[in-house]
Amino acid sequence: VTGGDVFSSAMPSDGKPRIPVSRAAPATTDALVLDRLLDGVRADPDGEECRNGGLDMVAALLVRIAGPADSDETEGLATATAMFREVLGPVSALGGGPPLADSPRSASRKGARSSAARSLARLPRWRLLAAGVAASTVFGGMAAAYAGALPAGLQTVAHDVIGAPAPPAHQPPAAHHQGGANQDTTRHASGPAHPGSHGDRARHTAAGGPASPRAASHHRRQAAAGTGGGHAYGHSSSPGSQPANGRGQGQGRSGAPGRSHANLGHPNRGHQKRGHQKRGHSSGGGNPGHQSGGGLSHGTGNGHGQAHGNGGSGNGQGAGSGHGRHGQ
Amino acid sequence: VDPGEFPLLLTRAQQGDADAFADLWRALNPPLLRYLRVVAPDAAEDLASETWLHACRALSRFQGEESGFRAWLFAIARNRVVDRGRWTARRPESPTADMTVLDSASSADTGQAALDELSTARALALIRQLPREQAEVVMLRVVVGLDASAVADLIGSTPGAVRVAGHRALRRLASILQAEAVTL
Repeated sequence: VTGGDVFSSAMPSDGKPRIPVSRAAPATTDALVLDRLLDGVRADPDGEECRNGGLDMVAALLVRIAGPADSDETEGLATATAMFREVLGPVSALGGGPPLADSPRSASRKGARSSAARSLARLPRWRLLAAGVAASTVFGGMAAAYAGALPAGLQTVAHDVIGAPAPPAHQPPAAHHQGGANQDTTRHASGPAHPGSHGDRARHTAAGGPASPRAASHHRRQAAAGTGGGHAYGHSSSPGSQPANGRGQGQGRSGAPGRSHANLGHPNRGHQKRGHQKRGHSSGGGNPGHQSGGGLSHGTGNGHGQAHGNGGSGNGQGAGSGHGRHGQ
Repeated sequence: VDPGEFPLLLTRAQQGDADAFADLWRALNPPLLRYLRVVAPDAAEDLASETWLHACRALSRFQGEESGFRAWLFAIARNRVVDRGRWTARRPESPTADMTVLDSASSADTGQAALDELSTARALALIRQLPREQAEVVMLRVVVGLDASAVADLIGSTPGAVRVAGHRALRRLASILQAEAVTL
């Protein structure tokens, strides 16, 4: 064994020979040296073990990066301490110091709130988004149902389930124009009139008979078109009368008894408030309890009227609620 | 931090003692900054602040010895780096180069003479030339002082892989330094 083949660190110090590490096995030697460097052993860059394989410069670099702190690395101490006081101060006060001004109850509420907020924050975003979409769908659907804006099928379901207004009566065109006396098509009339089937945008309910030419002509049109009535949420009043509110439903169709709801006190003027056109006017004066609409009407007075009409040739439905006043 | 003094220091810091926290910060912020300057050079200071903020918030829940605290702190830092990487991936930026990194030694002497004048920033810039995983292993092993198993736990690898990565890193660093010494 010659000194040229053995590292100085491998030379025995106690006189006993050691296994020589020659340059014939550089990988093993490098691995040992590299492990020492990685373990943070301060290898001497000038040492022979580092000089071998060019690791002396690596050792110097590692000494540099593991060296003492530079001045710029400790500049933020004041900021960090202030942050520490801000973050950990309340915790220490709650943990060991006297209680803060908050009562235990408010503190528990705060804890519950923060816990709930943390739980909410832990939820994945897609779950929150899905919940929002579901909630908006449900509430939007309910709103549309109560507004009567859903398609007929859905509106019927909504009517049955949550009591939304029933869908407007869509009569088959044949039924409208046939005007048969024994129409067995039953429509529940609790919703606004559907004018589209007749191209008529307004429904008029003359609580005491068609007094105005417009109403009369309208009813004539209804009769001619095969309708006996229409949904009417009306407001009827007569000047100087006592207020009497009435609400009801009317259904008049050809060949079938209809039920018309109107304020049949002494109205001489009625306002239909709802319908597909949202607003209509009908005026009339006459005997309470009678409603024209192309059929026979029967009503009870005192602000609540229920009229049964038997439309002659029409087929229609009517529902009306109104505020009536006893007229002069 | 002296491992013998660490339990008392930690207890005081957990109770809100700012002086104890300052001692921890003085001991661990320099290696934290150096680690972050290698793995996230464009946001090292910001990430260090975020790391300490998260550490302060979770300090009361930590239990363990000094080496565990170091591993815990650098795990927080690494998570911040990963989060920032995701964030910047969504919002790409083009930061300007750090001019201090580009400074080179003016001496035309030998490489050893250049290394003697090697600043920490220059040394970190050389480490950054390594592949990301190798540079991280070098920093965690040498600067932070974690052993191979702790580094493996931190980066989600095995101790053997960490050891191999460290060896490759140092060999590559040696070749880089030899090339740099020629050009210096």
